Amino acid sequence: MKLSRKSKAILLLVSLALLIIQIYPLVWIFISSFKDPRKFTSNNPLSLPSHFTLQNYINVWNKGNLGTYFLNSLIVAVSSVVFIIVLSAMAAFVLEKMRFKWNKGLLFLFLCGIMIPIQVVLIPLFMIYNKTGLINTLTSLILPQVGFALPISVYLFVSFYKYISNEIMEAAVMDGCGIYQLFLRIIFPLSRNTIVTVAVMNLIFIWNEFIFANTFIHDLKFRTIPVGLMDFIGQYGLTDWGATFAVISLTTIPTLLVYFVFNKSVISGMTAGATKG
Amino acid sequence: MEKILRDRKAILVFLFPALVVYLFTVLAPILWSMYYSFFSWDGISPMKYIGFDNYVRMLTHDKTFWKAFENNMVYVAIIVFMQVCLGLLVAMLLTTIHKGRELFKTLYFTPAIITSVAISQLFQSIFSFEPIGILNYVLQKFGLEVWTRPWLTDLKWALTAVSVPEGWRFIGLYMIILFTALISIPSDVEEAAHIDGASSWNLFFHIKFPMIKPVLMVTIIMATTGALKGFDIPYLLTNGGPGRATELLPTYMYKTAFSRLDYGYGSAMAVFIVIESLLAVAFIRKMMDEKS
Repeated sequence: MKLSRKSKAILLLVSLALLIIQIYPLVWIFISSFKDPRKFTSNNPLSLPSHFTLQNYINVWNKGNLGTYFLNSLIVAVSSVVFIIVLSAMAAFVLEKMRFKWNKGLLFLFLCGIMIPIQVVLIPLFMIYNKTGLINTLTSLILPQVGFALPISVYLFVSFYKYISNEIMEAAVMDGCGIYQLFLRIIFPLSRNTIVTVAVMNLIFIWNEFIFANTFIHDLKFRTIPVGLMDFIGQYGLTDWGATFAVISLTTIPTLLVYFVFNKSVISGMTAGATKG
Repeated sequence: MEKILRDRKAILVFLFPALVVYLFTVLAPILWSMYYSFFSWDGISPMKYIGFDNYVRMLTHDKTFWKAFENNMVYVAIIVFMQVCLGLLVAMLLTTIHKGRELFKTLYFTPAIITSVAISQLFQSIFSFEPIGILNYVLQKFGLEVWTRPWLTDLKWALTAVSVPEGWRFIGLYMIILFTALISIPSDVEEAAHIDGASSWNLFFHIKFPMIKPVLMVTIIMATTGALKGFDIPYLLTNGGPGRATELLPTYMYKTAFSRLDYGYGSAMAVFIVIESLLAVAFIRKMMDEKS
């Protein structure tokens, strides 16, 4: 678009203002986490820390559960992601490349899952978990995480496999590859980009997941980070803001790192999830 | 090759694990919910079959259910407005910027990757009245004292206050989808319009806007179905209160099942939420078909 210098400058300023509205609150959490814990009742919430203190981080650490939450979140996220990648890469291979009567029908069945609100499975899963003793275990979180991630992950793999030409597969078969080798040596390694997208997108989703963790876990020692973030809300609803901001800052750093390193994959995965309905 | 690709055993090996997990955690529970919804059941005493009573109670006697439904509609409207209209505005602005575009996109998207629990706590503090939170502080500084209020406990404003964070966190997502649509418009369309003397304003409203309409439609409906499932932030910020001012169907369903232990009734509501979402999907399909 041809725009005059002046209107260009105005548009740039407006854009910057909107950007600040969008990210300032997050920056503010980090800044506030270094404030003196007693200063949160003061009259200016925007004030910078008068002196830089790590007291909030020390308080968080002394409470002692953070390490456990980190470990639990890590176990749940990593094992879910491994399962998601292996299961969806294999399933998509059958659905897109193999000759099989129900390809279309099954793909449709998987894609339907994108629309299912997770609330509908809470009661039945809660009941089954209660009966089978899975309640209050990390497995109770991993299973539905994998199940609900499959639709979009299968979709992403199927979309990628479409671009793998039959000639490549044919050449591999000529060279003596069986079906398993074809998948393991050719198809799976070729899908490196899709694997990264599926992995980072789901890592972030699962790291942040709240409803399953809040419903299926009662024991402190199996809590994941999102539920653990509420530890600093006192009995009467009074929140220790310093500690809360410190713990948010600490637990968001891994997500931010993954995001800033793989931002293209994260964004493309999440927008595919949103537009594919 | 054909023979290899028809290998039944291999098909089973590749497909079976995914199918089992998907059946067990997604499909079967939906059917189970439907089954439970025909019973009166507290999880401990024996289940009692009551036919469609839960649905009748829900649709005809339960004032809270309809209040929650009504609130849900307002919640959806606010979120769709924020995500699609503001998203489009930012996307348009972004097309005028060239330097630092990628950085802008990356930063603008950041709230979408933060857990809803942290977002809720952030907004709890922003909306706070005592001690004064950012919003009330800024209003005060601009001389708008009369506007300061405890947003989350104010009967009239709580629903809006609860909707804004969910809208805000995903503006970036919709901005990127709409931005992609805007820049995929071929540049010769724009040049031709300029030669014909179209102003920037006309160019947008008469040429670009109709061209991105299909994508716009998809984003509207996606934002709608997303908001219909909204749970975390309202649950954490106000848990339906004050009174029933911010009760939404998902929060009401959750409380009915897991606080009041009325599992049958809760299941009926869960089924209602699924039907609501599926209707939205049918709506999407219809829109998409009409456009193509």
